[in-house]
Amino acid sequence: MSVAIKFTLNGELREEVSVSPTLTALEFLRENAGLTGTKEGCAEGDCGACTIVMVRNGSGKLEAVNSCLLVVGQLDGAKVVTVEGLSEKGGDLESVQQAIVTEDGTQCGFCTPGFVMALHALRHSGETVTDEVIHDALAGNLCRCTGYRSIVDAARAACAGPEVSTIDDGPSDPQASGAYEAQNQLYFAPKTIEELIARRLEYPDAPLLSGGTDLGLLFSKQRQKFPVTIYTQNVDELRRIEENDRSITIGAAATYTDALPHIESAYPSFGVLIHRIGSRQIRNVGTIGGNIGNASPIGDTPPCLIALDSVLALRGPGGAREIALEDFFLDYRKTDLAKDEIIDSVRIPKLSKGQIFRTYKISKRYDQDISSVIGAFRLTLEDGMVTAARIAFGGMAAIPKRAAECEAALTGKPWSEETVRQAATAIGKDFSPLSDHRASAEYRLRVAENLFVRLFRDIEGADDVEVMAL
Amino acid sequence: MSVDSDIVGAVHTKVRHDSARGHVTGQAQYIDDMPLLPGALEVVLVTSPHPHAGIVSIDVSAARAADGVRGVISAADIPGTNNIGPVFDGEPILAEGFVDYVGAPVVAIAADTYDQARAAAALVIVEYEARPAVLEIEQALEQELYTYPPQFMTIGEPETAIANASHRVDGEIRCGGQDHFYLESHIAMAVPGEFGDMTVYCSTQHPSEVQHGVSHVLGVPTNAVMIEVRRMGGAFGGKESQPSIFAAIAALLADRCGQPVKLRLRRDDDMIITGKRHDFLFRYDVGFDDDGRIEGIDILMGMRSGNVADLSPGVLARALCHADNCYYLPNARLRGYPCKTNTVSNTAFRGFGGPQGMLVIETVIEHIARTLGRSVDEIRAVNYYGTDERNVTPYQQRVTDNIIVPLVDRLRAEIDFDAMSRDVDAFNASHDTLKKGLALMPVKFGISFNTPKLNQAGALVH
Repeated sequence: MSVAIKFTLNGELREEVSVSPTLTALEFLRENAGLTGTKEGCAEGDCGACTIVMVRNGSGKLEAVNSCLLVVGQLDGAKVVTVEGLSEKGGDLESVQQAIVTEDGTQCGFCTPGFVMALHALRHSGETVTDEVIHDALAGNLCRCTGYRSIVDAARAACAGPEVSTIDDGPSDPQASGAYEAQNQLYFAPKTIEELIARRLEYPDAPLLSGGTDLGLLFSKQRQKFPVTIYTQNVDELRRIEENDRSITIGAAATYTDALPHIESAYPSFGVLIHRIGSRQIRNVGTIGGNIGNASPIGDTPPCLIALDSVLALRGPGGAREIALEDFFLDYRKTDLAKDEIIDSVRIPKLSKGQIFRTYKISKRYDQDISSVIGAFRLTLEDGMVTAARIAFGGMAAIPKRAAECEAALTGKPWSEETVRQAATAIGKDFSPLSDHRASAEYRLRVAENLFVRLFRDIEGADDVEVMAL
Repeated sequence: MSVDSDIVGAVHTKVRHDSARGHVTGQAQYIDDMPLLPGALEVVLVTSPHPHAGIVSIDVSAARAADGVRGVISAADIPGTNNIGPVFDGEPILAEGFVDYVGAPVVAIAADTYDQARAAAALVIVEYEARPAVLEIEQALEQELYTYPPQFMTIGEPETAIANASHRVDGEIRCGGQDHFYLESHIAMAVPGEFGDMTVYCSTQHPSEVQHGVSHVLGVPTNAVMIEVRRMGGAFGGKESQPSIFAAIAALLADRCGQPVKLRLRRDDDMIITGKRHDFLFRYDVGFDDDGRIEGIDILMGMRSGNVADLSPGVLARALCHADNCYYLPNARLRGYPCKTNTVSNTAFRGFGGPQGMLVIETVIEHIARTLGRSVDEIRAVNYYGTDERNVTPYQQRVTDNIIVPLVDRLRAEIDFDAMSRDVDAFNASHDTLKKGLALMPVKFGISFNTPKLNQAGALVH
């Protein structure tokens, strides 16, 4: 029997029984719920005009998300707030809304509801709001008219005092396990790994939907309607993050936002990268597990995870197994994951004494752009010598891959710019990259080589390494 | 009439955006937010995958029979004229006989839902016969392919002046195009009325031109067409001439189906089908004296007009008229070529050619500075228009009320430009791999049109 998808929308309980489970939340809001304040700018999670606020998993935390990449099924158990929910018609404006009016932060106004919602989430986040935090909170919202200054002024005014607020009314739990069925589509949102594996076995061709920041494009832009979709983020165990002295284990369905504090403190350079992978809207739903499972040659986290010697835990009907992440990627978009298996988690060893980790992303834009090249380096330095090196690159081959020749050229050598420059010349032996619209093969090789010099200067404390530091 | 009331909107007074409250609450209504009328249809366009090809045949039979489809049209179904050119004729809404850019609309399908129209679009079979395509500005220049005649402007004796100057350099520079990325993509909703009337809600900067375009395509008098624009979600020039294409297609389908029709381009389609800022190729040859004062200059502008003229004549004229920026060019030959390429027709975009024109002369100024080993600001200063002499532009206008020198001086003093400059130098001296730059750029921007009749305004005051 089909269950209903239950959530609150601006405080009002909705029980959906006939809507396609993979209809985008944006279309649902605009067409089914008549809430047209939320806009479609790009339908691919880049412009932020569709930003809404969602509270889920019983956290009470207000999080900004892109409604264009979210599907109705993912709203189950959530509290959803749209721009219409912030103030009464004709009544006082909510403080972000008022600040944007006061600071003249609108011109054409089409991006405005998205900015309002992104800042509404920021205002309730409890963060100390610096300009850097404002930049981070607004990196996922584009405005073509204002030049942003008036919007940033509004953010400074409205989000000045740390304020932690939560929303507690409405449904707090996703539906009990079962199938939601509508419009000839089945949607499963299991709560346990066992059930997830059973569904996977039953429907091996169904996509596994987690945050949907990549898969969502198939719904929003490609208009695909899969007969069966299996959602993973209701499995508590898959959202676990465990940290001990030796490692951090991140469940496959844990979001970037949840993983970020752990990663930031253990590997600060990796933390900076995660801020750049996607906007808050993306990070609030997107997962490292998804970034691994989707096996893109330009995924941002795999090179870092490989350089850090991470191990992937997989689960299937036959039990659990582990595989070194570097062995998981077989060929372009092809992995070692069996059709009946799921990714359980990734275990990232912590840095031991003498180990240093750095990662650098080369892209045309600083924020949330697709990488042209990404380099990740874990070096062990002892008494001025490089005693071990693990180096991995993305954007240089059909899969994220180690640079074995470069590693060999560094290992056992004195730590000097000369050594590093020498080792970097081996990059051509490790990789034969492609030319595409992001970068030419020559550029990729050159920039990858140069990253070694940046690495040296960075570790030696040169102050001109991070462009954004200006 | 009272004259003692406060002036609303006076200079230096802050006036709140009258839609601000609507914007921040989501109540401000854009066309896609309007409640759909019963029977409203959605449109998907079938576009050309070729930069240049003859259309051999179009088979829409499967599309017509598909679920939810109410109307399928191609150029053959246009009752009026297949032309919405804002300046020149021959600019079709649906390709006729051939396609001349990737993205040219060939067939339009209206169905009950967007997804149905999209599914039906995949069933349309268009047979093409590929033709050689011109994709680069250089190719068009070599083959003398233009969308309308080149424009030339000459003052003095440039060739002699360049030849006789103590110094002479030449060079080439290019500037790229740019997508408008208005947050609201193109949209038009056509609602058929009584006796053949048509109302089109359209996101456009130019409702009267859209009205003309729609009436020509439908073959009805202009007064049968009403265009309504409440607001736009950004435009930046991208919604000046181009909305006519989508308004006319929506109106045509609404007319044929007798139902309201909405055509909203999704972002990818919008980027592919519509024009952008013109990219340019510039070549220059300049003669100057020991102080860097320009004595003669020859500038060639190769502009990517695209497949048709659209607003390119105006954009090119503006680029030519801004190639002096703030500098006196006593002897100048400025040549503009609107290159016809098999790419989407470029269109109006903030600055309308002005930024491109300024780019080339500022490049020349920098080239002179490098050649003489002087600072760019010095070279700018010796070339600024004078107040009593050296004050005639290449288009023979006398520059009056010229405040560039005191303006730049004041700006430099107020922001302490010299201190900023010293900071940058210090930073650069102490950093090997990362360098900072600092520029102070003068701008002279023309506020009138080259077509004099456009330099007027009117207001209807009730």
